[in-house]
Amino acid sequence: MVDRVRTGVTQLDKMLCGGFVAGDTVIVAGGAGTGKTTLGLQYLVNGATRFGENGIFVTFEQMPNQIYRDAKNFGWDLRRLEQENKLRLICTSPELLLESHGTKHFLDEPIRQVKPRRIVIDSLSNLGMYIEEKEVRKEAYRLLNYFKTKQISSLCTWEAPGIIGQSLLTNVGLSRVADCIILLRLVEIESTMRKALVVLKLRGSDHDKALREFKITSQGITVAKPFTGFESITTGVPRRVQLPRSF
Amino acid sequence: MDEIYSKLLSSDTKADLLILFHNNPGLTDTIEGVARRIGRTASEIEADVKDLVDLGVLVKQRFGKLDVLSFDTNRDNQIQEIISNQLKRRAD
Repeated sequence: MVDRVRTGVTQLDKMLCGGFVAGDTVIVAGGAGTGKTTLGLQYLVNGATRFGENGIFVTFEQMPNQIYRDAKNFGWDLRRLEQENKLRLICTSPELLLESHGTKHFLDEPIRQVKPRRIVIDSLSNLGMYIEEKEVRKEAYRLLNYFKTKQISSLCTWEAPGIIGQSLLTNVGLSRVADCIILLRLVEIESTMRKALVVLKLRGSDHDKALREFKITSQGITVAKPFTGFESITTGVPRRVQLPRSF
Repeated sequence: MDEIYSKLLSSDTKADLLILFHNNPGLTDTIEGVARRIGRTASEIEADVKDLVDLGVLVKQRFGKLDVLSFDTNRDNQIQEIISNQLKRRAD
């Protein structure tokens, strides 16, 4: 029986046949405004408040005060969770995560203090600001294996501005480093921007392959039913398809 | 206390650094990273950072080949009071 790490997003956990596999590396890829950071925060807040699993959130670009404010809009009091030592929000530069000091890692101390089972890196694509593209895979592999050694399940966001979003992951070879890949993207359907989610990969486990609509509500992300009646949704420009009458 | 107060507020850069760390206590970054977050360069903030480290407001630690700055949480209450007064004055 595989040990699962529940996201707390009911439908997403169903798609993942119970949750992420414990200790695995998850990459949530998507363009700006698709909800990557929200999903990462929700994963940590649910871990800390519902499943007894502490977490660390590492942000590179977004400042903590913005994150506290945005989280509060979803009813998540991150400051209180920090006071209770269930969560730690760390704002730093990617180069510090890549640096080593003898045998010490930059995150050794917060990990010792918080004892997290979950960590979110927002965003792994920021590594590319400090190292060449060909080095990203190697350095990401080293960083993610550090978490695995500590038995921490990691969720890394990945800024994917391309049409489908997956191509950039493939370019730097991260799709092989990740155990699970979730793609979020905006799609235009009948002049309305909607959000789509699909689990592209879940190593060692079955999963729902359907492309589902999701919404960012006042309680965070909720995943709804699959898109039906359209094709080419992942291109961002879906076409309506004529379903046979028997459907 | 007066000496600390006058040193803390002796430049706009120091005030910006204090507000940055006060609002973002989880910030632990290189001098370059901190400078970037207030729209300056490392060389522009170097002297002010040194003053704040000397005052015990910021902690500077060597990590590998990088200097890392963080907020001294032990002095947080005292600093919060000073910053709060500064913010009130700015608002007036």
